[in-house]
Formats: sequence, structure tokens, C-alpha cells
Amino acid sequence: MINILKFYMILIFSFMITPQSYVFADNQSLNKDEIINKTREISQNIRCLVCRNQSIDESNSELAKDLRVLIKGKIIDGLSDKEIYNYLSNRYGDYILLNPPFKTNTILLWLLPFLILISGCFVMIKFLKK
Amino acid sequence: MSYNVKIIKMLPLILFFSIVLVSGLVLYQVKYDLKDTKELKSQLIGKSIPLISIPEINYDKKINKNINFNDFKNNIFAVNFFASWCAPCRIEAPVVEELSKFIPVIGIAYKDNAEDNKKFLNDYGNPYDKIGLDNLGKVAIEWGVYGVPETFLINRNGIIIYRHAGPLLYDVYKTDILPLLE
Amino acid sequence: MIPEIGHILLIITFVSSFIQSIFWIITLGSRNTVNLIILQKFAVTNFILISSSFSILLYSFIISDFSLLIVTNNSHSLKPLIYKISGLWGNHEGSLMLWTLILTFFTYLISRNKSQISFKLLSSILGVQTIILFSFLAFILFTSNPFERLETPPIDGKGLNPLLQDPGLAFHPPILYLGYVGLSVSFSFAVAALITGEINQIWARQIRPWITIAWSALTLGIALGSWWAYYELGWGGWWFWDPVENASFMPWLIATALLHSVRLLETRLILVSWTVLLAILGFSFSLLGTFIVRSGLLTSVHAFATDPSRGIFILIILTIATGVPLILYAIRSSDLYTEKKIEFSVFSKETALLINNLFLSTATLTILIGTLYPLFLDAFNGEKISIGPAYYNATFAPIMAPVILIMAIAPFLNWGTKINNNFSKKILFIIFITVLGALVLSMIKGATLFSIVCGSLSIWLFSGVLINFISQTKLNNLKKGEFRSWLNQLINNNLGMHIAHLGVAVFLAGITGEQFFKTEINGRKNIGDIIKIGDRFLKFDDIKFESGPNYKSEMAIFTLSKNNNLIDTLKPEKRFYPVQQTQTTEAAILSEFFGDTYLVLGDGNKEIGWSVRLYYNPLVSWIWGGACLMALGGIISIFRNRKTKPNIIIRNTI
Repeated sequence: MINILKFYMILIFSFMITPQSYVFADNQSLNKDEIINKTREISQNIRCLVCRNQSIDESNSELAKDLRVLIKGKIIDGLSDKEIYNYLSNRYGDYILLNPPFKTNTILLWLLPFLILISGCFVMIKFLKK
Repeated sequence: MSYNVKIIKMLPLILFFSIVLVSGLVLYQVKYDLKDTKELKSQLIGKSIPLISIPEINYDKKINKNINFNDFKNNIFAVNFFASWCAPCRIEAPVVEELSKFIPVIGIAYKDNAEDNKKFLNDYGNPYDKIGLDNLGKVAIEWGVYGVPETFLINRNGIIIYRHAGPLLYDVYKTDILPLLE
Repeated sequence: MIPEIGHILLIITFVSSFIQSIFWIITLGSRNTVNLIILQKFAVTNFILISSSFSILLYSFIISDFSLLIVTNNSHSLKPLIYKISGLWGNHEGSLMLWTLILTFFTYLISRNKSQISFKLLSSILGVQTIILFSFLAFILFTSNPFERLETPPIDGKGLNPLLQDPGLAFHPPILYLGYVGLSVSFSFAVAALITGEINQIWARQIRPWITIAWSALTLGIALGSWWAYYELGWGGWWFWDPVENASFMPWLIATALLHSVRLLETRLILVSWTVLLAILGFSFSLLGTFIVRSGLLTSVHAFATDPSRGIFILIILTIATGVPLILYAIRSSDLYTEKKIEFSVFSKETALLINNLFLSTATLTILIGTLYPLFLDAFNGEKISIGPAYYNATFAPIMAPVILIMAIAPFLNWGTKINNNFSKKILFIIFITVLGALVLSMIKGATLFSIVCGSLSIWLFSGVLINFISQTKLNNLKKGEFRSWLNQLINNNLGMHIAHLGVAVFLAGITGEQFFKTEINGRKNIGDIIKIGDRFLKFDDIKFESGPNYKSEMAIFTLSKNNNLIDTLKPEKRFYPVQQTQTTEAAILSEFFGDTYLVLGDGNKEIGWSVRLYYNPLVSWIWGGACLMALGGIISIFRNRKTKPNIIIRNTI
């Protein structure tokens, strides 16, 4: 039982890390199609500040178009995903990112579910022993 | 053992009340207009003016020049992003006029052209010391502008100290006279 | 004159429910059964009063009585009748009326309960329901009166948002409210149990159908909302982890946990206080959802007209409605104890259901955290952040994965300490099929790790359900001649569960297809152009201009064909609604078993062509189909009537 739990913890952890992999993505030397795909991928993670429930990939507003052009330019310049997200959040705040970053003020956000699960497991095991 | 159980049974209650407390607090603020849920705080507050150069708007096809913010050092001044096609900009025009009586105001025409801009100024007045042109919207992005109009206040050291997004209405104008008193 | 009657009826019910509540509280300790009869009569009366008031409101909408503010704001003489009717509940005040109507109806149904349930318990259930009714009527009468008149009625109404004039969205609220109010019933059961100290298997048996109805309704309601978003919003998205969507999803998760927990309670009488807690929280989350949507706390594209004073009122209702039961829970739940110790092994149904409950509750809390965190952070230091799909994919998805894994194998685990003989054989079979499936998936173009995992989970569940169904059906003595008794046996052998779990597997498959294997073609096309999709051809034939009852439309005609045989005609539109001054895009969708062809028309003209977006969404209909199967399974399981032997008695304290 304990081994199953250990295996499962590792699985969860790897799932949680995977979305953060954009941190390591480097954008040097992409071909034309890859640039377009990468622009769309990043744009899908940026909020349109005019129509606030859409990403700039979906939105038709002027600002969305300008930002898409900007992002494409930055990719061609070779900036990494993380550098591009930082560029935007430095000017517009974390609100423009559709996914919460992993910073000091969001540590609780990312870790709480995990913590709840573990403490829940402990309570359950205690209950089972009774 | 039963003490532990009591604590666990109290947990949902404690959690619940903290959620209610915070929600009530936020609601209280919203109801009494202590905060606006839609307006974003500018990331540039406390930082110096972005370095991107802004060309002066060229009505008569004269020589091209950039706006030099150093001309305004040792002075508190305002930067106002506006556009001839922007309806709220017309509404705020008298307030910007009022503001320009106290401090210099630099206007930046966002996604505009010289001809339409000139017409706008003829119709609604020209309170600006200088006017720059951001026809592609790149300057706006550097300043974290997400719509027009937006107004920034910059202090004597070239640091941005205030940003208002949306038309500068009279009561908002009142709350930012205060920093001007410095 | 007539609307005033509607208003007066509301006031009468308000006073009546107040009197009932006092009456119930006063007679709490008494053993006189007449009190129950009085409460039952009251329940009937309330229902009659509210349905009359509701009918008057309905009548006002049907005849387009614009002297009523609500009709002016939400209706228009040009609207088709069905949308005039649905306009009643497409707004804040009207939706509350609908909620109250369903509440009184359910209370009436409960009052007719003729089972062995103790009269004290039944009285308390009715009492709690009445207090809820009272609170909602107070809310309606003091802040959200639907019968408010306009001094000078306008000639015509302000119409309704054209986005809402739609069959999917017309039925989304009523079905969802059936779910929310159903959860209020289980809430009342739980609070009544805390008050009277009586919980036993009869309690569990009586609460189960209500939870099931609520759960099925929530499933359908949420699916309907998502389906609407999919075909209406124009880019094929159907779930955005929007606060309002989360607000309906959290009660669903709790209802699922509750459904299983009650099953555990009914059979083995454990998890008594946990079940009570869940039942309380189920309704709290429904109320919390209401609060979030209407209060201005969180802005969202969904939100009703946001009004902080209404928000504060609901917050008060929420605080009392949750706080008081939770206090009761903290004090009294230790008294609800079973004296018999039961044993069960690690590989038993009990363990599986326990794990199920643990993970589902954690999942619910995770979504709560994701929904409220931006709010708290904003209140704390003014920083605004947003929580998007990546957060939920990283937290919610991994937490739900084990639930799916266990869902497949739990049905063939036994209760208690008996170990199933064929257990290892069955597991091996499931693992084998899943690994095979994973290999096949990995060979599909565009497969990523996530997609393979998601698809494999679906296959795992499919094979589990298959094995379980076969083995359970084999256990019956199937006399094929007697259809009714055969069907009865099927149902008693958990047909509902099998269908519901099958629905989940289908749903997962739909997600895998739609999310991970979607293809998109974007570009400018002119009349005569042909787009190739797989082995089919989509030809842009024509552009037409048409008029509908309250709109003008620019419509493109596309024909889809394969090998020169016409498959279908797709007509995406751009519509303009003059009264509302809004423009909408109507996507053309061809729904087939294996996927949807989804076509959207953008801007353009004859010179430069039109901007066109074409998607192929594999298996997307399986998402809605899976949800329907789930709801169907739920409804079937209501008819399950195995006699459970109430051989364990709980110490009663009063």
C-alpha cells in the first residue's frame, strides 16, 4: 500500500511540474511553422485585457492583435517563453497571464491541494486503523 | 483523542468563516466604492519612464523630432494617452484642460494620424505642451496601456507615481491633486 | 391588478413560512404526531401559493405586460413564445422565483413521504425546508421583487440578449436549479438528523433518491451549459474554469461524493458524520455559487447584474445557513455513532469508497482554492492574478485520475473481508487492454503524454465497466422469457451504476479526442475555394443575406462532400440584432459520431474574400453523450430497490 502511495506521489509531482516546463523552452532557431505555433501557444496563455474572458489568441480586439505581433517578434528575436511572459507581466501585471506563475505569492495556491490530499490520506489511514 | 476529533470537526466551520470574512470585506469595499474591481494597477508605478522614443506628431510635415522628457525635469508633469476616435477622450477633455493649468501635460496620440488628431484638438481644445504619435501602439505597450484614455503622473525625478485608466473624471481629478501638492 | 395579486401571494407565503418555522421550533420536543400533519398541510399550501404566484408572473411574460419592470428588461414583443417564457428565469429576480417554486414543490413531495421514516425526523426535515423557503422569500421581497411596476410602461421591452435566445440556454437554468434545490433537500435531511439525533439505514434509503435526482440534474444542467457554449461562442470552447462554471461544478463534485458516501452508509453504517457534513456542504456550495454569481464579488462574462447589496444579503443567508449547521455539526455529530465495529480489508469496497470520497473532496477544495484565491490575493495586497486551465490541469486532473482508476475496479471488490476470487484475473485483463490501447494511441499523429494518459484512463474505465457488467449479469438467473423481472434484476444489480460509469468513460474519451486531437484550418477564402479535410472536400459555394424574426444575417453556403457525394451543407452566419445592437456569429456544425466539423465565418467581402475558421473536433459529441449517459444511469438507479436489512441500530439522543 505504501509503495503504491509513493509511486502515486511521484506521478502527481511530475504532472504538476510539466506545465511549468515552459520555463525551459528555448526559442532559438525555429522554422516558420514553429514560430506560428509557438506564437499561438503563448497567446493562448495571455489574457485579452479588453475582452477579459478571452485569450489574445481568441480575441479580435486591437490590443490583442498588437500583442500577438509583439510576441511573434520576440520569438523571432529568440527570447524564451519565460522571458516573453515576464516581458508582458512586467508591463501589465500577473493578471495578463492566464496561468498563475509560481512566485512567493502563489506558493500557497500551488501547494495547498497537494497538502490537503496528504493530510486527508493521514486522517483516512488513522480512521482505518481504528 | 476526542480533543483531536473536536478540532477536526471545527475545521470546516473555521474555514467557512474565514471565507465569509474575506468575502464580506471585499464586498464592503466594492459597495462603498473603495475599490474598483475592473481597474488594473499599473506595474510602472515607482519606476522611471520607459525608454522607448516617441516621435512628435507632425502636422505640417516638418522635421521629425522625438519627445525629450528631460525638458520637463524638475517639474511634475502628466502624460495623457488619447485618440481622435476615442469617445471617452472627448468627455475628459475639459478636465485635462483644467489639469494643464497647473502642470504641463504631454499628449500621446494612440493609433491616430495627424489630420484626424488636428481636427480633434480643434473641436475639443489643445491643453498639451507637446504631442507624441504612437501610430502602431508600441509605445502604449511599453507603458502598460490597455485602452484609451489613460493618464500618468510623473514626478521631478522622472519616476511614474500615478496612473489612471479611463476618462479623467472630475472626482478622480480631485484625488490626484494631492500628490501635486508636493 | 393581477401582478399585485402575485406579489400579495408572495407576502402571504412569507408570513406563512415564518409562522411554520416558529411552530416547528416550538414543537420540537413534543411527541404529538398532529404537529407533523400540520406541517404537511402547510407544505401543500406553500406549494399552491407559490405556484400561483409563479403562474401570474409567467402570464405577465406571455402577454408581454411591459408595466412590469422585469418583463420590460427581459422580454420583447417580437420574441418567440418559448423565449418569452424562458426570459422569466434568465435574470436575477425570475431565477429566484423559479428556485422558490422548485423548493416548495420538493418540500411538498417530501411531506407525502409514507415510508418508515420517524415522524420527528420528517417534521424536522420539513421545518428546515421551510426556513430555507422563508429566507429566500425574504431575499425576494426585500431586494429582488419580480412584481415591481414601472410608472410609465414603455411600448416595447428591451429585448433579451440574442445570445440567450437559444434552446440550450433556455433549459439550462431550470435543470440546474433542480439540482441545487435537490441538494437543499439532502441538506435538510442532514440538519434534521443532527437535531433529532436519528440516523439509520432508513434515513440513508430516503435521502438517496433526492441526492440522485440532484446529481443527475446537475450533470445535465452543466453539460447543457457547456454544450451551449460550444456551439454558440464560435471557437469550440466549452469549459473555461470560469468562476460561475466552477460554482456549478463544485456542488456536482460534492453530490458525487455524497452519492457514494450514502451508499456506504446505507450498507455498512460507517462515515455517518462525514456524510452529514457533505450533505450540509453540498447545499452551502450551491448557495456559495449563487453568491458568487450575483454579488459583484467576481466579475465574469456569466455574471448577472452585479449588485453588492444583494451580495451582502446572500452572504448573510449563506453564513447562517452554513454556519448554524456547522456549529450543530461540531457539537452534535459525535453523538451519531454506531456501536458495532466493522472490519474490512484493504481491497474492499469500503476502502474504495473511502478513497473516492477523499479524492473527490480534495478535488472540490482545489477548485474552491482556484476560484477564490485571486479574490483573497486581491483583498490581501491588491495584486490581481488569474487562474487558468494550466492550474487545474496540474492540480485537479492528477487528483481525479485515481478516482477513475478505482472506479473501474471498485464494483468487483467485495464488502468487508471477503476477497474476490477472480480479482487478479480481472485486473490483469483491464491492464492488458489499457496498455494495448495506450500503444495504439501513441501511434496517432499529434499524441502527447497527456493525451495518452487521458485516453488510457478512458480505456481503463471502459474495460472495467465491461468486465463488471458481464460478471454481474452472469450472476443473475436470467429467465429471458420474463422481461420485466429480468430488467428488474438488472437494475437491482447496479445497472444504473454501470451506465453512469460508462458515461464517464465516454466523457473522458470525448475530452481526449476534442482536446488533444483537434485540427484547425484558418484562412481567407473566397467563393469557389475548396478546403480539404482528410478525405473530404469543403467547397465555398455562396454568400447570402437573410432575415430572421429579429435579426439580419450574412450567411455563407458551404458544401461538404466525399468522392463527389454530398454529405451535408454547412451555413455559418454572422447575425445582427438591431434592437440589442449586437452582432453574433453562428457557427455551422456538422455533428457526427466520430467528430464535429465546425465552421465559423468571419469578416470579408467579394474582393478580398472572407476570413474562415474550420475545426475538426474528434469525439466531441461523446462529451455531451457521456454526460447524458451519466444522468440516465443516475435516474435508473433510483428504481433500485434491494431490501437492506436495518440490523444495526444507532444510539439515539435527543
